[in-house]
Amino acid sequence: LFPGTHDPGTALSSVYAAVSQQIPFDGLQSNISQYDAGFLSVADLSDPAKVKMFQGAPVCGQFISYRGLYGSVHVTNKVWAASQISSPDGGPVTDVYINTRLANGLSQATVLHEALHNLTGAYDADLETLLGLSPPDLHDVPNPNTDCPIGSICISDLLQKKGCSGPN
Amino acid sequence: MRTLTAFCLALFAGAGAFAQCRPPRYQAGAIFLDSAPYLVRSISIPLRDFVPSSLVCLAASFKERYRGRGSITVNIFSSHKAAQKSLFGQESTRETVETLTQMHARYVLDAAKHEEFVEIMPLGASSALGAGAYGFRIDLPVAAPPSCGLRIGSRCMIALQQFSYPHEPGSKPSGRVTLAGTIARDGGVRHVRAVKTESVPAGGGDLLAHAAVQDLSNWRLEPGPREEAIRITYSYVIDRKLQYDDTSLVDFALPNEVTIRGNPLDCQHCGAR
Repeated sequence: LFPGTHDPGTALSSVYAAVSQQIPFDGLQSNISQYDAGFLSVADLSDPAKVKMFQGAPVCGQFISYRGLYGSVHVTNKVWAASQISSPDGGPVTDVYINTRLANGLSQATVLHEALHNLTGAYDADLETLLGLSPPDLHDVPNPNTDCPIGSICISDLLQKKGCSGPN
Repeated sequence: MRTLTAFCLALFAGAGAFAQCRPPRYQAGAIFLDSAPYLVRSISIPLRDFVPSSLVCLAASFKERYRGRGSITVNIFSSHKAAQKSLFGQESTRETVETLTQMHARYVLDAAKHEEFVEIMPLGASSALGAGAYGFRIDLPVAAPPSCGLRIGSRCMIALQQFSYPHEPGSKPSGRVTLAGTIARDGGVRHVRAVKTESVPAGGGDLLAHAAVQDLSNWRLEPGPREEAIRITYSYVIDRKLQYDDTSLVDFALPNEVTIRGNPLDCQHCGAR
């Protein structure tokens, strides 16, 4: 997960620091752009089309339908939180935006999952690979490697199953 | 009225060999970026229009409408609901994957890279086999009407469902099922029935036949002027070299044969999910 870090103690300290330094925001009330919130990866910051696209979409658009610069966009995803993964202005990468409509379902695993985004700067798909998860599938046939259904839920489930976070 | 106005008829003539072509009617979906030189948007068209000639014509109409744009991406869905949805969430969720499954084509123009193409994806843009599995790309401009990847006779394959190896607790048979049916004028496959089944173990024939009938019934081909009979054999092969999961590999030898290889998990615990 952390290239160049062979010392488990150092890695653990990094994770501990990422969790303790996280700054939570109400995602539904956040109308700054996804670019300003740091939702683009460092690599994608040099893609001008992606930069413009993320500049035109608000943070709350991760959780609910919104009217952006170019019209309405429907959002039906059930997403608990979204995290800063880069810093366009050079500041620390510590922000996490919570879907406060689903706050009751927020778990330790989700908090840790979001901290890993902060720490690694990776999107879900890349984080899945880093954690050894297989790509998502469309059917409810259990995958013995992960035994979890799909995407971001997979990541949080794995963190909990491996004992990295508590059940609540 | 609002619904009517949401329908946009592309009136722009295409260029080159398709100057006289008539693009399919499309319904506007979400627009993610519309700021020169960029355009990123979604639209939806009926499934019957996901044929190369229509899509190339549609691409020409977009190129003309957004003349001067150096970067155009038009995601083309078979469902209007899916075309309205966000595709750029940070978290990958089941909803995102299901939405992308209904994206059967896209038009891309990237002037900086000197690229312009239409990509057709019968399985959709999200698949356990990878985006564009069994799909094909038509580089533009084309001098002659383009052909398609998978076809039966003169009809292109438009949409397929993700293949899944049939199994149930305690049973993962292999074997062959020969099906007969009719390709309707609208491209749907109707009246599908199993005419011959062989399986190992013998008791697994019904499971294989049911899966094969279900699968073929969900194929969607290009519309045609008349109904056509179809007879096709599905071969199911257990391949222990494959990883345990539901990603099956499929070889098409159309119009006569489809081979599905898989290694499903012994499903003793499936009911727990």
